[in-house]
Amino acid sequence: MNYSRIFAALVFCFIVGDVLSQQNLKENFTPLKSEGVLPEIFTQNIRNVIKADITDLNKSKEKDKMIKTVYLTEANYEIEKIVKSGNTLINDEITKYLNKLKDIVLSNNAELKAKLNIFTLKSTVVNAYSYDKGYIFFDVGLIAQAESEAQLAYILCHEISHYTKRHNIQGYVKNRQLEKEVYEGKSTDDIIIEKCQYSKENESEADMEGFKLFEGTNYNFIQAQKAFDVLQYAHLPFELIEFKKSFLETENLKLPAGYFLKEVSSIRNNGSDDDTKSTHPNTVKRKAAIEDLIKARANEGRVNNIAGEELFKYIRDLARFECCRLYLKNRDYPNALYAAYILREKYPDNKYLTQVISKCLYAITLYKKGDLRYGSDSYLENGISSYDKVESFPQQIYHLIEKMPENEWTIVSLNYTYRAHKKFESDSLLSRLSDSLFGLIGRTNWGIVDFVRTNRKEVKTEPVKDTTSPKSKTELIANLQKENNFKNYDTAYYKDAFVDLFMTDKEFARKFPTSGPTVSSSSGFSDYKPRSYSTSKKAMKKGNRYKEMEKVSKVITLEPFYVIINTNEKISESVEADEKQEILINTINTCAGKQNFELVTLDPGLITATDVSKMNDYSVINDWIYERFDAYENSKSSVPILGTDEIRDITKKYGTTHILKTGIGYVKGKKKYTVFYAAIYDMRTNKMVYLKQEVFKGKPNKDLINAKMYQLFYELKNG
Amino acid sequence: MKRIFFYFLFLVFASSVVAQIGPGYLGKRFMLGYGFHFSPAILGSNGSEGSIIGRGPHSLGGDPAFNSTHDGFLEFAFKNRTSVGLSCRYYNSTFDNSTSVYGYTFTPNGQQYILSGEPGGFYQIKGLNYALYFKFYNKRYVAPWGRYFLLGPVVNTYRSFYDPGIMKLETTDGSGGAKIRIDNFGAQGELYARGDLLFGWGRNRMIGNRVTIDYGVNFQLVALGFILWDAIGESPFDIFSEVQTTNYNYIEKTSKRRVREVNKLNVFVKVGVLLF
Repeated sequence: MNYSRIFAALVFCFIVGDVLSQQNLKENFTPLKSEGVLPEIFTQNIRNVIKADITDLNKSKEKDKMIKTVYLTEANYEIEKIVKSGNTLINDEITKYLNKLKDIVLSNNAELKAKLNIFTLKSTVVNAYSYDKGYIFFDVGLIAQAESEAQLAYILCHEISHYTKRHNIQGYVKNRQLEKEVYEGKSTDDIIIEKCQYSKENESEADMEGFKLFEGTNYNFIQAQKAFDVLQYAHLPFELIEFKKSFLETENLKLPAGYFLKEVSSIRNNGSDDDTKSTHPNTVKRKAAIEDLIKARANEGRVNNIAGEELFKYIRDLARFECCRLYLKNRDYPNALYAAYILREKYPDNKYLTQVISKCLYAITLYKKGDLRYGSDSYLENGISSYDKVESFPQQIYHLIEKMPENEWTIVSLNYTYRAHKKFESDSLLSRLSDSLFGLIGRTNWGIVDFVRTNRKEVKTEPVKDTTSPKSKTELIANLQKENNFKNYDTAYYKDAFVDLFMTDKEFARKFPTSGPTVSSSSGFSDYKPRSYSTSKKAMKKGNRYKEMEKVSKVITLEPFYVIINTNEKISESVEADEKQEILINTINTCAGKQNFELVTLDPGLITATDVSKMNDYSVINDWIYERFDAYENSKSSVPILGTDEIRDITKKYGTTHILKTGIGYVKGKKKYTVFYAAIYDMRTNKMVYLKQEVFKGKPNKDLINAKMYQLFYELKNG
Repeated sequence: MKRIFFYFLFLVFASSVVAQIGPGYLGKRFMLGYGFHFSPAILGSNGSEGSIIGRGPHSLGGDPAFNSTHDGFLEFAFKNRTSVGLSCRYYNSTFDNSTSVYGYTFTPNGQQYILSGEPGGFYQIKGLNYALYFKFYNKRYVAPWGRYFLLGPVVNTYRSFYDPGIMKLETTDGSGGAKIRIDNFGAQGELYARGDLLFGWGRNRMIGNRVTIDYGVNFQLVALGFILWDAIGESPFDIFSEVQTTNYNYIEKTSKRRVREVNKLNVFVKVGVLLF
């Protein structure tokens, strides 16, 4: 038997298998999902883990056992919360890749390797962090920004050093000790500075120790230094390319130059910013420290990629695609648009990117029309930023959003989306998006008649005479240039946008509103309805907004929450809350069971190691809820959900369009209050169809929970 | 009583059909139970200073006294926050005779004597109150659990009994030396009935999934309205009605006051069982 041939065949199969399992990003992208068997942390009883940790602590000769006991409780719950949040990816391509890097970095330390668990977090934040328990989390945003495999490897080394040096628990103990000093007359400001100082020392130590670990590999030292550049410019998109005007233009739709900036703003160098109140040293200091280490070492023969450059780029592109989805989920449409624009340069025929761009244009149209308002909990609560607060090329997008009137946005959006729909005709999402945009055109004063002419109309505007005080020569020149720019505008430029479509596309002509303004009752996208202010406040106060609820006999229920807030003392209530949560889950099941109410429980606390698909479904629903809550809903309009397309599959899979989010909040203190919360969302219409938020004096007794939970299912079942 | 019970059942089923039935407590809506109502005897029902009697110690001896009532009830949660209930409250009380009365009697020879004074001893009152009430649970609560306000008509019925050997007016005829005794205070076990309006507040808590503990305060509106009038006490001659209190209407007039005292304001504790 020829072993070498068998070995070669196996290696070939392995490589081909790896390549075949990769996504074909040239055509499409499928959002990242967890795969395989879930790790122990998903199935273990957290209370037993805490108990064991505290027992070990008590056996040891460590100091500050009291504080460390609290830390162990809090940290374990925090890790569990992160892992089971639905944002953690397990055994997906990126996590597997990160584990491959772990194998490279710790190739000589099997013991440490076995202790570490690396996960990817679905977040656009550019960060990585570790816990003393050996859990290291990498944000997708960080992978999207990395320039090489070596940079990621160095960041991993840095995080491993935090773990080996036990910085997390030490930092916690130090912070608690410093907080006590407020009673000794120290100002809060001084305490913050001292906390930051201690944290910075730990970060510097992790930089140094991480470098020692990094040195043991064959990675290029320079990349360790460059990793700090990635962190420094984390606020910028993962690449900077010019946003071209032609991107949104077609043969008959040429956008006025005035909507675009002649020059975008420069990038501010924040590397040497004051870091007194920062938990990390500024990047100039960190880079300098690494530079000293590099100088003393030979860097010849070291490489940027060990696992492979192609693989790194593929993984990074996956992360970048995922960022597009996450930006959509966060309703950060300008960033999503720019991210998709960047990726489109490399993948011009990718359907997913076309969908992302269409969604962004549609969402911005709604935003400009006032039909999409950011909720108070959203990180964009003040709406889309002004262009002057944005740096570099993305500034063009913000400028365009700000300057282009809403109806023109509608035209531009429809122009792009309809053509995208024609390109991917079988795609129902693009079809629904363009239908919705037809509905929005119906709300303008324009009808089909306004768009069927073929001659471009030249509109000449008289220069505005300046009546203010005489200006300097340069100011006058600048003014003249401005006037000329505006004079060149054809204010009706957009009316030629659809000429070719009217001539050749019957579907377009049929769908285009004959005359405006009309309000489409069924816009076809997410059952979106235009906003109306006709609902009386009185009716809203009475709670009539949910009276129209239909009977519901089946819901998907997510992990119910049980939160205890102690206003008296800063003590951990996590264990009690965890125990009470278990009772609450039983009560919910009992109350639903007694009424033969079908309950599909998607609770990460109750899943088994093989329930990875349930975990993925939970993640999709959580994303949907996040996006749903990020925008404000009024009584008539529903909130468009653009970042979670898979929700349709979930509703089909579980046979219901309703999800239930419920729980108990208990405020402990001089006065005790209990808050009962239950909300039902319809994933088909994106509307909240049921809401109960009630406050009771006193603690949450069993009878309160029984009565309210039973009532909840009774009302759902009976309408 | 039977008739009332059937009316109640009819009401329960009619309301179940007509109205949208509420969820009850874990699906249970029908409750059967026992309650104990009591109130401190603050104002004397017999007009003597602070003296009142309950079923317990005789207050004239200076011991604290309480009015106490036993209650059997049925309740049905027929809407989300509304229950209908039927209760039958029983009490056994006495009235210390300390109100002056004009006693009329005739000797066998036809001579009429009029005596004035307080009859000796006391008479007994046994009462049954029938109430049909509605409990309106506060917002956020679900019948039959939580805080509520109750309202409903009540019929207070009672019978009086006296012992002629103890409850009497006696004197000696000045001329003949014969003993003149008035011990006829009307028929034994005479039935009286008065209507009133029952109000109250309370809270129903659950023990386990079936047993309820209900506690609170209730009062009868008309009885409460007479609080000052009853404090002043009964006069032998009613200046408003211009009716003289005689041995024939003594019990009728004085018992009203005693019954009001028992019913006007009570604290209660009830134990119920949720049947279905």
